[in-house]
Amino acid sequence: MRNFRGFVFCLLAVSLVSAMAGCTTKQEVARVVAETNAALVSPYLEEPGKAGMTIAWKEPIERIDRLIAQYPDEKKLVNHLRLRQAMLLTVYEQGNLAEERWKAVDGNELTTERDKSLHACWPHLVWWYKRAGIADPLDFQEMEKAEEALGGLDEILAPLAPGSDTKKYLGTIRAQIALKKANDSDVSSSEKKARVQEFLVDSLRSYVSVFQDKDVEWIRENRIQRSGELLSISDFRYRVWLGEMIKAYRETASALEMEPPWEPQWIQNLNMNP
Amino acid sequence: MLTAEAAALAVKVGKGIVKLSRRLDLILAEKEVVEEPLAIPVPNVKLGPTQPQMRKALRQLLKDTENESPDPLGEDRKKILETVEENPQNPLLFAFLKKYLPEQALGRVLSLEGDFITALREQHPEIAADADLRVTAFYVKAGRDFRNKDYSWRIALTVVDVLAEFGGENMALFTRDERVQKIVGAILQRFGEADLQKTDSTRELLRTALASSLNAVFEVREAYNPENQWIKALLDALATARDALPEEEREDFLVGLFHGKGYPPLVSAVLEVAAGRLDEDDAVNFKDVAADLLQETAVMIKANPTFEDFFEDHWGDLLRAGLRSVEAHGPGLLRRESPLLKKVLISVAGELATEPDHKLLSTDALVGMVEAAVGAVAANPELVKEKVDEKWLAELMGSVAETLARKGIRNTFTRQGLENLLRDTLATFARHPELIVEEPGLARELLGDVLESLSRVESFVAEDLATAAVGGALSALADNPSLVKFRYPELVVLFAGKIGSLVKEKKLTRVQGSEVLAVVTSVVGESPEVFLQIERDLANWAVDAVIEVSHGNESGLLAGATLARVLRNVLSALAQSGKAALKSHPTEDLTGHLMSLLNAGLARTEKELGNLIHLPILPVILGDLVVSWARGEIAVVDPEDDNFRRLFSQLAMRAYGRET
Repeated sequence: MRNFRGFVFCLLAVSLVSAMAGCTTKQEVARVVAETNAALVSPYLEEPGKAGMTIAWKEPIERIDRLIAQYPDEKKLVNHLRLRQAMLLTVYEQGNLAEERWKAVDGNELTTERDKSLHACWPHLVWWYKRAGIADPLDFQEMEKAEEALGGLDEILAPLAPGSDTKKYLGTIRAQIALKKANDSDVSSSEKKARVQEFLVDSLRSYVSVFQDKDVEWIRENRIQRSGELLSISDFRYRVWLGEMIKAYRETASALEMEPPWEPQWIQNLNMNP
Repeated sequence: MLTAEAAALAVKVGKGIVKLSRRLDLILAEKEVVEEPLAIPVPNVKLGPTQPQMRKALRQLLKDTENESPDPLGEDRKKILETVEENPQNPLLFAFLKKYLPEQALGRVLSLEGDFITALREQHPEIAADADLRVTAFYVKAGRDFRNKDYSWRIALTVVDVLAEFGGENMALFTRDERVQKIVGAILQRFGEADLQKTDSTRELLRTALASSLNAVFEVREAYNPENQWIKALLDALATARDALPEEEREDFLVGLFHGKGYPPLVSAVLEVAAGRLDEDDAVNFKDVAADLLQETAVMIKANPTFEDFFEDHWGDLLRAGLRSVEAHGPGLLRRESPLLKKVLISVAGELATEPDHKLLSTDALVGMVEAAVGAVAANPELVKEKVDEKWLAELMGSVAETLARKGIRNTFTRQGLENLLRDTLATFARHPELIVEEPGLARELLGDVLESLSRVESFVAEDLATAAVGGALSALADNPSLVKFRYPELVVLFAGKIGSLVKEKKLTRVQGSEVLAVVTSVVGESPEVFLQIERDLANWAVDAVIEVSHGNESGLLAGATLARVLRNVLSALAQSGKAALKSHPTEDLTGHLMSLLNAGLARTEKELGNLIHLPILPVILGDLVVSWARGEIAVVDPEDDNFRRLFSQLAMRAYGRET
């Protein structure tokens, strides 16, 4: 009996030590995931008038590097972590660093729809995050880059699950690039103007198609003004995007002195005033 | 006081737990980074002024400043004018705008995230105020994982993996038997090395597990030293064949063979053989046969990759059929100096690899065919030189495969019905190899053509008729193999088609059709001289006559089973005195003459029933009547003729005398 107690005691002691020793990697990864997420959105969450809220991107990047160095053989862990690094650097417009991290990612080791899709279009993302905030019109070479990005994103978007977050995110990036391209286009002749008008209509129609019927209904009924409606926070975000994007397309058309026949038809009739 | 043994065990278990928790930690860490959402904002987009806006603004600028002195635009005025009016390049327009109207060059900003945060603050201030919740708004979920298994699967596999490693390293904790320790330890060690947690699908897991256990067992097979020498021989053969392959192909080779359906029956057959009359030397010879077959076939599979699946399923059947043949024909087949079995099996495998319809061959068909082939080779070793006579073997196997491949047959007969017929046919060939030594295509000529001739009849009727025809014919062939020379199968095919049509036309019932076929195949087979040599139409005329008379007989004397009994007696009578009948009666209308005779006999029967005869004796009397008629003993065929009446009475009395 005593022996048995002693055995159990020993076992418990060893188990306790091992349990304490275990799960450290998981905790570290959870920490860098949370830090990366916070860093990614930090610039967009600053309270007006409160400066210095931006979390530096360097710290999470270095922490991930240390983690990767500890587990070089855990391919999936390493590559998904690298992708987070690369995305963080992309959003922070760190072009060269971002490119270096993206190139270090082995796409074959990525397993999810989101991460595979992001990896498939990283050159377009790196370019666009850096270029989007510049008002200067796209020059000839940039127009070609925009064209390439639109084609590339079309290919990536096609097989994605309807209504998935990744489809809505990448669809929005595509719509932004298309809008900038149309805005900066040469419309000095009627032929050129007609082509740009057609491009604008097609691009908006394509953007609307990444959303689901319930999202479209919400916009058509202008329900953004109704408070208290039960809606997930991400759905709310995507629907605000859709509404604002339609508004931006219509404004751009107006700035280009066009009155396009928007499709689907409901966009034509949409009243977006409060 | 804790004993040293208990303390050691506790430490070992603890080590196992540490190992497990480390692995689980890594899996959970991977899960975290793979599955957790990634917060991604979309960038703000600065949309500068459009071309029309820039032109308009610059024109206005030109107009507003045209009278100013000094000119604020200086030398640029001319360039601006050209750019606006002639060749409006946006970058140039934008440069002038930025220089002279910088506030208008700012354009607009599309800030989707800003708009979202603003809307959130207005509509859901409680969420907007919570920093953690606000981050969740930016989440892009991971979506579908393209691997087949989720993390609960991987965690379960990791547990199994670690337990296997633990068990492999600590076998002494579980058993003191060193032999068992070696075997189980080897298996567990292989499992541990296999990294099960990295497998993404059930199929891959099974394959890994099977490969681990099989290869481990082979590596330590000397440890368990199976007492059954035949099992040992089988395992040695597999190991020999495996070791002949390049190292990277070995595991898959074994897994493929053990995945196949034929392995369990092979082991049963091996055990049966061990209990039978074969001894340990034979087991060693069997090992060589099996190893050579597997090695040779590995080469064939490389040349014909489509053969791989079939061989994996049936290699056990080939060896099992070989063993059964050895039991039937003696262990001489196995001997090294005369390796007939090895040559047959390798030749069969070679034929199968190139036979386009090999996938249609079932296990039973394959086993039956190999047994038949081995039987024929054992009876006629001259069929084998370097290997079995290719033409002969191809014809034998092709005839079976082609029968199964015929579309009409497959549409009419059930798989089971077809299997049964084929099995019986091949079993007859195996028992009587002389049938296929000369006629390797007999399966096609008999079975294939009979089935084809019945393929327009309803399925369940066709199966009964085919069973009767083929079964009767096989029985006759077994009794008299020389029937093959007299084109007996051709006649059987003809009758099968004829009776099938009559059943289809409702002139015969299904049961009657089967009985008639059984009678014809049997009686014709018993008297080949008369029915196959002297007059091949004689049986056909007799069958026509009996069936027509039966059909026209209103009193129903030939109804039911009586019809077949009457036919048997009539055919037997013709077998007995057909030569005489053909001499004394013109062959042009032999059916008509026979019908008149039978009708006359039936007319007398109607009159004498209950007086002189009863119905069961009718077939005998009609048979005897045909004998008398054949010999020319009936001058006038008329039921009311005195001589005919007298003869009928005499035949009846004689029949009863014979019966009693």
